[in-house]
Amino acid sequence: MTQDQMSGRDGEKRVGTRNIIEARDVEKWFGDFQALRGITMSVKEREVVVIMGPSGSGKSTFIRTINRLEEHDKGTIIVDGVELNNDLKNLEKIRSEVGMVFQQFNLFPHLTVERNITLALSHVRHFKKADAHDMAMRLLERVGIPEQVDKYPAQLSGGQQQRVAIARALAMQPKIMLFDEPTSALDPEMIHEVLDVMRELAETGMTMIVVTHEMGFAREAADRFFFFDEGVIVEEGTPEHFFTNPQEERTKLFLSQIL
Amino acid sequence: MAAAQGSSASELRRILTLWRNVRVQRFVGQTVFAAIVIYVGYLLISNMSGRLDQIGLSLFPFVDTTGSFPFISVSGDFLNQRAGFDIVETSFGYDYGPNDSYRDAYFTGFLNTIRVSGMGIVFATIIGVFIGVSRQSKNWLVSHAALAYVETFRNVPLLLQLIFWYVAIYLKLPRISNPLDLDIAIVTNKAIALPFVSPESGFGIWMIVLLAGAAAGAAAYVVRSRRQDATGLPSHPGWWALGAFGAIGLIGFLATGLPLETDTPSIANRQVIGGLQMTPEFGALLTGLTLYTAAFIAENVRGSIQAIPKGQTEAAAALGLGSFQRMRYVILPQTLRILIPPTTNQYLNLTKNSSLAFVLAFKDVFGTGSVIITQTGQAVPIIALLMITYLSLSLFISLVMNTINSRLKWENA
Amino acid sequence: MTVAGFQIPDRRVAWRWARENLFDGSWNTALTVGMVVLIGVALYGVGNFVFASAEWEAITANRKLFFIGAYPRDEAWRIWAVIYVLAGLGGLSWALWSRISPLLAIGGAIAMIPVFVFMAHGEVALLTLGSLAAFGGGYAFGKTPALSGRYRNTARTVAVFLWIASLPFSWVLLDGVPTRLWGGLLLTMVLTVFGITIAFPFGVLLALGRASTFPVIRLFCVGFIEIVRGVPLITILFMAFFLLPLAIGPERTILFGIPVTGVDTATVQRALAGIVIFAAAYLAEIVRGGLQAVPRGQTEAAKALGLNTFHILGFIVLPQALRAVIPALVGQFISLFKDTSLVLVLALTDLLGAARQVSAQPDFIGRQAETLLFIALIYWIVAFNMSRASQQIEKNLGVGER
Ligand SMILES: Nc1ncnc2c1ncn2[C@@H]1O[C@H](COP(=O)(O)OP(=O)(O)O)[C@@H](O)[C@H]1O
Ligand SMILES: [Mg+2]
Repeated sequence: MTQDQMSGRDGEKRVGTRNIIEARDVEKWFGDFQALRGITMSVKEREVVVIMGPSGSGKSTFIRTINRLEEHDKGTIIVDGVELNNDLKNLEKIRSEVGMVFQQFNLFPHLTVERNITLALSHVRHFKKADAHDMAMRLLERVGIPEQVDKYPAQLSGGQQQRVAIARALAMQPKIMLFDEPTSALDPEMIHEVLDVMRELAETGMTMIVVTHEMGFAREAADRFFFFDEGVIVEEGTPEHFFTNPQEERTKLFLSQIL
Repeated sequence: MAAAQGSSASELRRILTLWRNVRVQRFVGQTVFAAIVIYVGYLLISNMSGRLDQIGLSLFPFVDTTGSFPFISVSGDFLNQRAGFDIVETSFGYDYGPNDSYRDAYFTGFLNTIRVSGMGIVFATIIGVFIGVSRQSKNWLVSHAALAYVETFRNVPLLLQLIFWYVAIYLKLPRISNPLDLDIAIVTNKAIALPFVSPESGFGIWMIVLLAGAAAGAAAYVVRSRRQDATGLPSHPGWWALGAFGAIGLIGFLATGLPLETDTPSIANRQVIGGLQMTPEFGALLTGLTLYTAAFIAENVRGSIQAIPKGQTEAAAALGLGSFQRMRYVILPQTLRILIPPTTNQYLNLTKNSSLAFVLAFKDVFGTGSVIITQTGQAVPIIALLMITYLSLSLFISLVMNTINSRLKWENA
Repeated sequence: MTVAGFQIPDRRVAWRWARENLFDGSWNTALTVGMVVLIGVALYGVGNFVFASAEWEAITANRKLFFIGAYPRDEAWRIWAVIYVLAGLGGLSWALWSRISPLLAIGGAIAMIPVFVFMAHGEVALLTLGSLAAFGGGYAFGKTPALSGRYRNTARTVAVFLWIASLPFSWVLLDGVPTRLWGGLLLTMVLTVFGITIAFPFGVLLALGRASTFPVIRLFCVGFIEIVRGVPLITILFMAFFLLPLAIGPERTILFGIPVTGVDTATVQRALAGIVIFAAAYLAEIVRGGLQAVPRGQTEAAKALGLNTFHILGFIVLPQALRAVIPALVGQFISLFKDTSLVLVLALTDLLGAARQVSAQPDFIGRQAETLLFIALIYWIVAFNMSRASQQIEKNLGVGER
């Protein structure tokens, strides 16, 4: 069965056939503690993958290995045909192709919203100043806050900050976006404004890996679903499968707690 | 009768409520406090002045209570008298001799304080930043060597360190009769001398050329930054500015006929002459102040680097910025904001600590002041003058650093 | 991944540790090699001095001078009495407030070994061991079931009062010998401990005054604090030395209209007065930081309960403020401990003064490096251990009952 049948959405967006991310038997230790115990996962072009799991189960660690904020100790990770290893050349390529949005926003507090977005454009992509500015404005309009362009992060609400963070990541025109619990640090009334932006992004065909516990978003936007526990993938499948008919005890218990 | 009683009772109540009134309490409290402070101050001062009168000194030698407004008598000013003592080391070419007045002596000492503090601040900052960054090194040996440095220097009294540098290091250098001649430097326990340059004819013209070079450098900076903004190509404005200045300076140097002559130190008549000289007193003071303060600055540097959340580096890395760019555009600007206030404190400490020169017989402002006290007995005005001097220096440093801090606006990254 | 040096279990882990921390890339390897050479040269130089060229005779011949200066030997029992009382109290407190790890005491004791080897001989060694016994006795007493159980809070209160009482007690006991004979580490310690404890209440008052809503009081406190902090300690010592006797000297002093015989201030007392003035200003700034750290809500809640200003300060604000600044107070103690060496300029013979005296002795002329390094070691051990202790306290305060 095709991805479209599974997600049950209209045929606007097509999940590709090529694997853009391939992780095989990825393991990761922190000292004597093994945080990832052999993760195998492949993500197709334009696919939206949601990862859930209890705190400490290795979700963040896994997606951080994909842009090499964490180095994996065993296994292979191939992103867009490039294998992640100690080669600095690969690292640069991957980092500019994979955008990331953090739970704590991690905006640069000493830079205005515009400079937050254009910093990497000027110094990594060597954009002209005017072009970088146009790009920043275009993205800010897309996330709905063009009027905040000259403010500093501290002057924005949490939801606005996270939308700037999304715009900042999108500015590099990444092929893949990673979201690590992007709404967990937000007040309830701001969650939806960030989720709306993410939903639109999914509809434009961006490849996304999203760690989140937002069931509404997962149900609507996700093509595939992974459940992590103690550093392994316990269960994977379609959203329907998860919401109607989870197989594993640990998954059932977890879902019953957060639903 | 009853009415009268009632009214006096209400009168009493009115006074009582008055006493409970917050504003009355505040007024009375402060008045009493002020009265006590003034009275105690008056007692102490009148005691002092009484005792000083007995030995023929005045508490306020500049104040002439018998004269007319503004009661300041300059004629009785002991600072105008001949000092009679020499100060071997002077700063910034200031000329002083024993025949000059106490005022000149004091000013000479003041300049010495400024020279040693200024140099100390520069060197302590360089070493402190170096050690502080080394503390964060991933290399275990480097980070622990830096830790050892910090713990050694900040846990031993500065005065002890100063004396150590002086008597155990600088005074143990070879005697002048048997100097250590390193070709580039002469090392003796009377002076350490390095080769230096002295101006020749054409020096003035070269200075003008240098100014022009600086202007050209600034212009190059602006042009290259514009180019970077317009094309997006990395245009290295800083390097270009430096290059323009250096090139023009060099061409000017050759064109004006080499206006600098090397001034190599030598020894004659048991004296070191020429070159850039440093006495052991000044050397010990500078070494001690620098190394001690650097340990504290290093801790500030480490603290402020650590205060930047890890997420900042990660977010910058996730955007594809390289390690130099992460440092330059993300970490450093944030670090400086945290670093400047405690570092200002260290600069103030260094300046105040330079008064320990007293023990090494280096005549800074405090040392000069103490000589004036012993010669004239005028302890009160000199101590007051010293306090005003140090307070002004502290104020000046704070002002400069605050200005720098507020100039470092977030956006100028 | 960090594996602390002493936890390395086997060769393979050691090798991995070394690779990750020392030979991680060619630049790092070059750095490591450079550092090894540098450290080797430094260690050789120091070792050569300590074991070959230095003559430690200058120190062993002057043990008494370093520790107590000119304090007469016959009267030394006074010092021992004070040490025993303080050691006993220390042991008791350690048992009653078991928050600081005993490892710290052991570490401190081990660190003192080099000093001990030099200094303790004959009866002094025995007496020193005796003070350890007093410490142990106090500790054991504090650990008795009654004190660590039911009466723990009472015992703590009593201990605090004993500490407070021990100060005047110590002074009176030591004062059997004129202060001009005090010297060495004794004088350093007296100046530091008495300086900071006398200054403490003034510091608190100044801090409260600075936070006061009364402009006159605030102005006075701000002026005092900023002037004292803006000038070097040495000027304040000079002020105390020259001006104090003029202001309150022996002959004619009038206080509140009543002529009283003034105090004949010996140099030690004058130096102490200067140190108190100096420390009070710095303590005030520390306490002010603590006051600012107490959330406004605390005062407001207390006001809402109807407490008056003094109760709010005494029961709510100050306890929290002071608790928050304990590490900073220890830091101030350390820097005062080092700063007392400045009394050298008033010709007092504190620890540093003793070292200067030794290198002026005909037998030991030119042995400055040895004496200075030796007292540097003493200063270092005390300061370093105290700063470690303050880090411990800071950690404990962070997670403790808050
Ligand atoms: N830098 C690190 N050092 C040591 N342990 C870590 C580190 N990062 C994560 N861990 C541990 O790895 C496990 C997985 O963490 P994480 O991936 O953040 O979990 P999740 O995101 O699913 O909550 C946790 O037990 C965590 O304590
Ligand atoms: Mg996580």
